[in-house]
Amino acid sequence: MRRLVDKVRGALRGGTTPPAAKAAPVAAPDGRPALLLLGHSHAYAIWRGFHVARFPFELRFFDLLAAGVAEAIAATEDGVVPPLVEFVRAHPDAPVLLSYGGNEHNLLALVEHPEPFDFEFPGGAAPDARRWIIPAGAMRANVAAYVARLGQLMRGFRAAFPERRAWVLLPPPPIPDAEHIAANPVVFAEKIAESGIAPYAVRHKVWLLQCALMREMAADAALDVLDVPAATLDAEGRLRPEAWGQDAVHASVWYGEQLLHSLAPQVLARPEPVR
Amino acid sequence: MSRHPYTDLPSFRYWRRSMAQLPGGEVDPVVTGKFRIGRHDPVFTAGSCFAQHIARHLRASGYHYLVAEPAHPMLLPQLADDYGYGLFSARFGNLYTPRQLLQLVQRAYGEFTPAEPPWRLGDAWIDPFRPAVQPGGFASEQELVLDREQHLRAVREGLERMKVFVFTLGLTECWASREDGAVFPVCPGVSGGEFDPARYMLVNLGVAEAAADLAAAEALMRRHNPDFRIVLTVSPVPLAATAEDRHVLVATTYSKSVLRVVAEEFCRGREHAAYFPSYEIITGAHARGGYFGPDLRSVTEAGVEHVMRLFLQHYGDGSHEAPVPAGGDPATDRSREHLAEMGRLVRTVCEEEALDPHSK
Repeated sequence: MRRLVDKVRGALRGGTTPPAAKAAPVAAPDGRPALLLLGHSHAYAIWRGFHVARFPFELRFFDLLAAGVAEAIAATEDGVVPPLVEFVRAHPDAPVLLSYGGNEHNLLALVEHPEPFDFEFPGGAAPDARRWIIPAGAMRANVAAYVARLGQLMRGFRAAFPERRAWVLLPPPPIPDAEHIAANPVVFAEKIAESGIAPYAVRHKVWLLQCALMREMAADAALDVLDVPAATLDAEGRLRPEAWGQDAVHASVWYGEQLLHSLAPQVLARPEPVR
Repeated sequence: MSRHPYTDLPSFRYWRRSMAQLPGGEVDPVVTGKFRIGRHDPVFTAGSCFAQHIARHLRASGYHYLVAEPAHPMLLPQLADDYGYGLFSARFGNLYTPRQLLQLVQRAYGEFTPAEPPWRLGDAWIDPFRPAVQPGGFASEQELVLDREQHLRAVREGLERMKVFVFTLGLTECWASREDGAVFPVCPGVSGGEFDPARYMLVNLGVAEAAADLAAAEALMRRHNPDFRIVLTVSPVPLAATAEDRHVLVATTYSKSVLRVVAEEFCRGREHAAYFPSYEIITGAHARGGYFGPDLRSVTEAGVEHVMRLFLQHYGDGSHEAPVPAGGDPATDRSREHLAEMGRLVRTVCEEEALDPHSK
């Protein structure tokens, strides 16, 4: 299964250089500047989005879930492994997008917990008094434990590449429509049948909390953050249907495309000194 | 030889035999417990900081220490401790005075709604009646109100389920609202809010007041749960400070004396109520001060052990079985399994995300 996944991943990467291979040219053959993408599963939507439109840059993708790489990274504290270093150094001036993790909020809140909970968070819906109210501070500290690893990866990247322009990508918001999730449950089918999908209000707040924590960790690592593109959200701030992926947790190719369109001006701007 | 009331008494009634001639750790002022607590009897604990020791040891000894307001099972254990879950049977923090206990029960049953608004401490919102339960305070007034409602619901549930109520009387001094007499566990201004002598006044309960408060609290609890026994103790921990213009040692002796008398008079004539002499075990001459730490306030673990050894000996179920280790709480186990399974599923879906080249 793992080999099949890697085979398909390799095919999907198209012209990128597989990890640990020799360095690729700095600029694409057509002279477009390179933009690097390091990421876990949310990066795939971005990678696929790159291939459906024309962009003023060439996207190069380093898959953090690739066999061998994932295991090597898991064995480190800082997530910095030789293939990753080689990949980034092969493109000395290329800015980097970091799509670390991002499904921690779904782990905690996609499927209704055996003890349905709620909590207060700025920008989120008011807590439902019929659910078990968790103190906001306790919820924050709890979620922080789940995303702590992402902070380590951010700090590790900055320590390895102190001068590189880089942005942390926040994960896409949760899919607001429970019917879509129920129709595309993939591996969650049994859990959803057993326990149901948690209310969007709760899922959204856990996502907001994760994003807030990721912003703090990014700032701590001297990394900028790229927000979810406004074009992918409706008037109420929910993820638009075009952005829903074909499973319960990921965004669509359209989302990836929109994200790349939105960040292009920023990442291609004249480089600023790293903070 | 003529006989008189002091002839041939049991040893425990003679100071020399039961105090001076015994090693300190063997002194047993309990003598006989008034009743036994079964291992499955839900025990509700409340009171001053000393009561936390009782709660901890009951749980460790395999008794049914009732926690009506547990931490949500998804919270990491350290967070549960930090947020005061499980220190007492509900997350009310320290209840120092009988008046505080009475008003808690009244508030739980909607018979008293204090006028005191939430306190502010910077951006944080503080519950004046539980100023220490929420590290950093509540994020908003809304959160405070919701949490308080959840808390009082848990208090009701605990009071109605309990078979034994263990209460440690701590203080007689308290600060009260001049508006409606609501009492606070700490003086306004210490942990939030602002002290205003026009709004708050010192109350130093006397025997009559404290006794009336305790009796009223019991009566209200029995209206909702007629079948529970009571164990009263007096905290041996001296006052950290007194608001009275007198030496803190003198103020402490007064407070503890009042509470000791109140506990004594409450339990006399009530078959279902017992006084347990924690105060005497810790402060008695036999301990030679050895059960207090260097600050002369904190009770040492040796002192707590002496107290709990005698408590379980005289009030436990008498079984010689090894304590049943506190097993996994079912809700915590379900939560752990749920989150572990979700973790596995998320990892799987992340790996499979690459498999569908036609993914839109």
